[in-house]
Order: sequence, then C-alpha cells, then structure tokens
Amino acid sequence: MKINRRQLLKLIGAATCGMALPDKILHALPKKGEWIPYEEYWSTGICLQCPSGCGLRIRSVNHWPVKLEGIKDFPMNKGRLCPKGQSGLQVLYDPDRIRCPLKRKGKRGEANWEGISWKDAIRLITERLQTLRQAGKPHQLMLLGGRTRGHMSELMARFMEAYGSPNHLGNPSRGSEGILKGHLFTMGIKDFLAIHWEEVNYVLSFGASLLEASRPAIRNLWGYGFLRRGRPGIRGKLVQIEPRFSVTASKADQWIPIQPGTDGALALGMAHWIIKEKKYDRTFIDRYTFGFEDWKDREGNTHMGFKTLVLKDYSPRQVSSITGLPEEMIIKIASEFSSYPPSIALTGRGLGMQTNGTYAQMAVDSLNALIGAIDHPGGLLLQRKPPFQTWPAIQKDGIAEKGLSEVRLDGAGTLPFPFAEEIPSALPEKIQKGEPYPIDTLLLYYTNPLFSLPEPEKFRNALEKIPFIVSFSPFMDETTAFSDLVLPDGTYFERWQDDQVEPGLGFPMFGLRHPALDQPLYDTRNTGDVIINIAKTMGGNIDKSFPWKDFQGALKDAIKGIYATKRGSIQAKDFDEFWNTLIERGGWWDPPYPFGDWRKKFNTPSGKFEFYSLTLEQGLRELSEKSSKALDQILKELKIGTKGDRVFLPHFEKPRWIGEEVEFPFHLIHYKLMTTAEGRGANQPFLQEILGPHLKEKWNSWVEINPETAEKIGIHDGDLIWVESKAGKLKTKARLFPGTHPQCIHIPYGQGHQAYGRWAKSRGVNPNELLVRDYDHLGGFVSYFSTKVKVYKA
Amino acid sequence: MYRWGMVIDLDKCTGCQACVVACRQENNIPSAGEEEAHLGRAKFWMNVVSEVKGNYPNVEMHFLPIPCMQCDRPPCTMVCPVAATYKNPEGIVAQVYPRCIGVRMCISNCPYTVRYFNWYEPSWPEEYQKGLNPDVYHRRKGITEKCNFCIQRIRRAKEKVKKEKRKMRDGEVVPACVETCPSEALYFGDLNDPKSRVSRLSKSRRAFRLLEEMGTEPKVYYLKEGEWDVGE
Repeated sequence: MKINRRQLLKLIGAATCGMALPDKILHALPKKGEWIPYEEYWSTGICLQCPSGCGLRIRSVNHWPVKLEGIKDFPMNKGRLCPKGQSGLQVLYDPDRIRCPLKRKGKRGEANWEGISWKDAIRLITERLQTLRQAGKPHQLMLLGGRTRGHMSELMARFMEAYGSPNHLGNPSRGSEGILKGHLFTMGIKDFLAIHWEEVNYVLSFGASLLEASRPAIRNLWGYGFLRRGRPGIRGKLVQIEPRFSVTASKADQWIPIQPGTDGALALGMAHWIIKEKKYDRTFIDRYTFGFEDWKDREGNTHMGFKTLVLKDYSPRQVSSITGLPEEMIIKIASEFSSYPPSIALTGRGLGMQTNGTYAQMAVDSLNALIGAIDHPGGLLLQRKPPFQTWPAIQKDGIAEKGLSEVRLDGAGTLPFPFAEEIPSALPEKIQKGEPYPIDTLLLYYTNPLFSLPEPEKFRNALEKIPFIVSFSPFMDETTAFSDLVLPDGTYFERWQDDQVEPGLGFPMFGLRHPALDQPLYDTRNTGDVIINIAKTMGGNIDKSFPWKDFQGALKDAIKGIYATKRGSIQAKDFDEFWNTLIERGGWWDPPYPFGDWRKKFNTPSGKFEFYSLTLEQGLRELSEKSSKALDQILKELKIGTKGDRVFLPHFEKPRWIGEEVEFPFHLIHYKLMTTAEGRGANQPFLQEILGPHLKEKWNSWVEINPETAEKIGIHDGDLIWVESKAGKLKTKARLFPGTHPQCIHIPYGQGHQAYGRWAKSRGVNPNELLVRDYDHLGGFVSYFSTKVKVYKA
Repeated sequence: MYRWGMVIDLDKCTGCQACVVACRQENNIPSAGEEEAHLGRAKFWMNVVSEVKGNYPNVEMHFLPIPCMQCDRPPCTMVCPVAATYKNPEGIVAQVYPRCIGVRMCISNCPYTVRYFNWYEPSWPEEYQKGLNPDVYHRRKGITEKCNFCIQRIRRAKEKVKKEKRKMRDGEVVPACVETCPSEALYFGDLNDPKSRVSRLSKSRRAFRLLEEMGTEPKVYYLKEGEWDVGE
C-alpha cells in the first residue's frame, strides 16, 4: 500500500488519538525499515471453503483482511478453523480471479474475452431470456447450481419457477445422495443426520471420511478430539470400516478392511447377532418403529419383517462370505456396538456411492434403530431448521405454467430414476440429442461439471450443443472458460448471504455472511443481486415475484421470521438491533436440542421408523399405476435383484462393476483429502503445498497401490504409470502405500484442472475422467465407485 | 516471569494441518511453489510429519506436528557466531533477523530440523501482499528463520495486560496454530504457573518430549495416543 506524506500524517494523528481507544488503533511496527502506523479491526463472516458454514472472525489491517480465526462462541466451529478455512484469504486475493463481466470474443474455450460493463452484461442476458420466453419456450432455460448456500438456492428456484422452467439442478450434496435416500425410505427425512459427539461412546463408521472430507468437517474433527479426551476417565472407541487405510482409519482403534460395496451386508450381519442375542432396544422398537416383526396388511396378507429377513439371510457365516471378514470379527463388533451405549453407526461416500448405496444406507439406519441410537443423547440427531419467514408467493403467468408442465430434461422423477430430484450426470446424452427438447440457455452457479462429473468429455461435447452459456463464477474454472458470458460473483468475503449450517449440531442455527471489505476487490456483483436485477428488468410476473431491492432485502425478509420468534441467541428490542447484533455475532442459534421427538419427526406413512419402507412401497405402487407397468417390470428397470417383501426391506444387493475382472482387476476408489475436500482447493498454494501428508505429497497427483501387488506387476514407488478404465486413461505417479487393499487403487480427487487459475491448471490428474457412469437407480444417483481399472507402466 | 510452553495431544491430533496453514498466514510465510517445495525448501515453522509402517492389513500411520521445541538448552544458539539467535528471558528461542548472516550453523545443529533458511527472496503475487501481517518482520533472502511461538501475539498481550494492570489469564494468548486446532489438540501457556493447563498436562503420565535423551530440555511436550477405555 502506497502512502504519501499527507496520509501518513493523518494516520499518525489517528494513532495518537487512538491511545484512548485500546485495540482499535495500534502502534507502528517495522516493515522493510519503514515505520507505518496501521488501523486494525475485526469483523465476522462465514467460511465457504466447504459446506460446513463455520463462523469467521476476520482481522483487517488498513481495510484489508490479513488473518482468519473462528468465532469463539459459534457452536459449529467453536473458534476453530480447518486448513481450508485458514487458507481462505488465498481465495479472496487469488490473482486469477475474474475482475469484471466478460463476453466471449473468439471461439468457445479459447480464453479470448472482452470486458464489458454490468449494464451491458445484464442487458445481454435479459434480452436473451425475454426472447426465449416470448417464443413460449421458457423450459429451455437450464440452471446448474452447486454450492448454493442458504437462501441462494431458494432464490434460484424462485427465479426458475417464475420464469417457467423445470430444469433447475441445484443439489449441493452431490455424491452423498445414497445417504439421503436411505434416510428418506426409513425415516422420511430429506437431510443428513447430526452426531451428538458430546455423549457418544462407540462410533462405528461405514466408510465415513470423518477426519478428512466429512460434512461438517470441523465439527467432526472436534468431535473426534472430544471422543478421545473430552470427558475425564472415558476414552470412546472408533471403528473404521473401509477398504482404504485412510487418516480416519489410522486414528481409529480398529480398522476393518472390507471388500468394496459390501458394507450393507456387514450391517445386516451385525443386526443378525444383535437380534439373535436380544441385545436390541425393545422399547424403542415397539413404540417407534414399523416392520420389525412380521405384519399383516389390511387385506390380511402377511408380510415379512426385518427380524425374519435378517435371521434368515444374514447370519455371520453368510455375511462373512460376502464381506471377506472373519465371522468372529462380525460378532465382536456387533457385541461391542450393542454393549457400550451410546453407540452410533455412521456412513459416508464409501458406502453411499455404490450401485447398492440406498439399500446399504437403509441397513445402517436399521442398525441404529435397533439399538435406539436415533434422536437420543449420544446418538444421531435430526437437524432442526431455523424458523425463517417464508417469502411471498411466486407469481406465475400462463407462459410460466406451461413451461413448468414440461418434463424435466434430466428425467428425474420418472423411470428409471423415479425417486431422484435431479440427475446431472444423465444430461450429456439428453442435451446432445436435444430430446425431449433442446436447451437454449444454460446458467451456471458455483458448479463446474466439466471437472466434477464423471466422463467430463461427454459433458463438454454436450455443452457445444447449447447456444448460450452464462457463468456466475468468481474463478475461471473449466466450465466458465467454456461459457459465452461471465457475470462474476465476489468471494465469500464480499457479499451478503446467509448460510444454514450442515447438520452437525441438531438445534437450528444459521450464519450471516456480510462484506468484509468496503467494496468488492474487483468489479464483481453478488449473484443474488444480479438475479433480482434481471428479474426486475424482465418485468411482469417475474418482477412481481421479487419484491426486494436487492438480496440483502430478501434476506432481511426471511430473517424477520427469526426475530419474531424471540428465541435463541439474540434478543433485541427491534429488528434493526437484531440485524446489527446478527452481523456482529456472525450468526444465530437456538440450543438446546429437543431429544426424543420421534413421533413428530419421522415423516413416514406409519409415522414411525420403517424397517419395512412403506414410503418405498407406496412410491413404487403409484409408479406402477402411473406408468401402467407391472411392479416386476419396474424392479427390472431399477436393476433391483430381488422380489417380494425384500424389496422394501434393507437387504444386500450385489454391487455392479464396470469392466471385466480379467481385463480390469482393480477397483478405482478415489478419495478426498482434508486439504481438497470439495475439489475447490487446487487454486490455493497453501493447500497445494501440504496436499497429502500421509505420503508427503504436494503440488501433484498420485495413485496409491498396494506394495505387494505393485511388485507382482513390476511397478516401483515413484514410477509413472497408466491407469486405464473403459472410459479413458490417465498417466500419473505410482506411490506404494501399505494401506491399500490389494484389489483397489486410490487416486485423490481435486487435481487435474485444465483451468481454474495458475496454481491449479495442468497439475495432476482428475479421476473423474476414468469413471464410467452406472447408477443406483433407486436412489437416483451416479455410483462413483463402480469403475474398475487396470494399471501398467508408462 | 513467564516460561512459555506447548503441549500437543497426539491422541486428539488428526493430522489435518490447520496449524500449518494458520502459521503460514500469521507469520507471512510464502508458499515455496512446486520446484522449491520438492527441493525441500518450503518453510513450515509448524510442520506435520507422518510415519507409515507395516503391511496390509496391519498398517500403522502416525502424525506428528513439529514446531520449534523452544529448548531450555538450545543447541542452535550456542553455535551462532553473531548472536543472532538467543533464548529470551521467557524461554523463547528468538531470532534477531537483521543480525543473521546466514551461515546456517544453527540449522545443522538443530536436532529437530525446525530452522528454515531463505534460499530465495520471499515473494508473493501482488494481490496476496494486501493480506500480509504487519506485525511480523520481513525476512530477506540469505537469513534463517524459525517458529517463535508467535512472539508478536505474546508481546501484544503483555502490553494489554500491563495497561489493564492485571495478570495474564491462562490461555489468553496463544500462537496461531493453537488458536485454530480443530480438535483442540494443542495447548499453550505458562510453564512457570503450576496451575496452568500446560503445566498440568506436561506432568501427565502420557507426556514425553522429542529426543529427550539429548538434554535439550524442550518446552514442547507431547501426549501419547491411548488405548480404548470404557471408563469402568
């Protein structure tokens, strides 16, 4: 920062006056032999390096943020930040940020841009959207969203609905859909469950990446420390079940290297022992569950219950042959799990991203229900939402109604994905063919499908078919580089936004992001404001659906509901005081958690936890009527390999693999590191330089191979090798890691960018390029772990 | 008089490296970049090292965060020909940067390898320079630098306490690494105060110090990982 004599004198003056104001203004300190006084202040913010939503205290010097800490009393992070959070200023100050609206000049992807004014940019997009709408084709607008936090997702959905397009894909939990669908079928809950770390004694993790890439990461890191040494005299136990020896496995008391895709069977094997030995929670099962015992429906037909199924099909011996684990081990963990309450069973990508992910999740949910670990101290909590005021109703005109009546392009909600909310990975072929209709304009918000979806090349080809692509990204990522118009958003230090924390605490809580700088670093605008601006310019019903000046106004409208309840951490005499306190404290929360509210919270047809999923049964029956297909035919299309009552009960479906055993002998299990968890950290040198501490790897990619396996195929540590699947091949460095299952190889996710700034570009490989798409059709998501590969020396 | 010390509970540490990044941001340590990092020239005042041993499926992996041990009998200060490094009255092994002439004898005499040399002029892209901490000294090419328990924070806290005419509370001042540790595995405080958290933890049955047999008397204590114990 350049300072002339006049400013210097002014600052010295300020510093002298500041003697009476401790902390506000500080004394001078040396820098390159010079003495320059500075002004310091602290403000709050919310981190966005992952979806956890941690509270930030931002230390600014002379108006520039210089250090991030956690907000001390923020329940989610308790004053702490993870490495990604700490490196946040490298997001703000990234030299390769987009600095103004850009219009494509040359060919797509050529990086030939022309800077334009916001006025022109908004005119361009508005005119395009107007024309499309006037032509009666509003459904040909598609919006792909990624990290849409807080009310941004609602704002986006509102715009799409008022405009008249059903093609809104904005799910921020990609890769974890199996978990969500499992919860939906057993409990009717469309959310993740929180862990009550404060009281749990025994944690059984089915492939949950607790200490690397879980959500909310910081809460789980804290929880781990608390489990170990938080309570005098008690040291809780952690058991990690996964094929790869991860950081979580290394910190666990026991690591169970299971055969990939068989977690569900293990859960059922444990249930077998617990039921046989009568170690289950009788009261909870009698009062709050359905389908444990055999039961009779209204017509008098007897249906199989969970108990019968498990006792019949999943004895430790049967499960041992599926999972490759010794019988004694299965019995031992079942016995520990049911003997040292409170115990919980957790799940993660490892279990959820298989073709049998939904059933496996249902099996683990059932295991938790057996011992009454749900909504109980030391158990899994059902996250409560903050009582926001709902926005006024959306105004729809005839064009919007007609557009919304069109089918979704991705086919979500219809066969073969009847329960899916969205299927982004099914898009390439549909866009390519233009069936059932072409896409005219694509909006991208905080998402980068050309990097994050399997077979990105196919997506790229599909994008060629879309005449107009608009990106709101602050960074020149792969997909933004392929767009026609860029309306850059600021970073999370430069905008108003609320952030509802990921389920982790149970009680309702949200954080409020507000600009930490006087004005954005560059000529960028909050996408929330831009959307409202576009809506206003378009006029008519769309304008009427957005009765606010800007996004901050919309937020205030929602947050008024919270002020009105007079509950929680902020008590104020009027809304202005409430709002100011909210900015000062960074968020609002309303503890404690109300345990044992099962009757209200299980949102299933029976109002109970369903071992036998009536939600699933009803869904499939309705589908059968609607599509006039027999149930058996539907099951075939969903690739479910069983019949009768078992379909609605948690059971083990054999996982499907892509690539024949002989040609492709290895499972490709890509994983996420703490430093790159969401794949967005590659543009931060602080994170690049500490990438993989277990192998001391940095600034690059590598593939982990079991040392004995490597010896057999003549691969040495550090060799360049090819990894090849049916979709493609990648060349990268081999690292021999004894924690690798002999039948698996592992590539960390997050590198291999072809864009995304100087630190990320042309560095390492992206395992998504190897993935072939198969699906868990029931859950409606792509199974990221189904691809098999071969490796050979380059 | 204070005697600053740190305790690292390995049973709680998850190897996440938040401490590493926090330290670099607080102390203006630039990233080395790919080439220099592979030459082993990246500066990590707080460093997390790992050890992997065994064969599948009997594998072990351990993480060890290593800051400067702030030895009570530091081998590094003894060999400095210009007294650029010294143990300050509060026990911190400090470095007077303008006095350092870069002979690197301290680096070779440190058994913990926690001293770092500036092999090149530290540089940041222009944009990052806005985010530099004005409280720490700018180290040039050719001099040695090291962890100093965030001495700028301690200095400031002492001024505050003095102004308010009171005693420092336990945990009132902590280095950046301790402040951020997500699993609360790091502790910092006054070893001279028998009631402080670090004093009590340093006497734990699990406590040990690195290379204790060398007689360097480190003021960084580690707590060993434990066994499962249901508290019966």
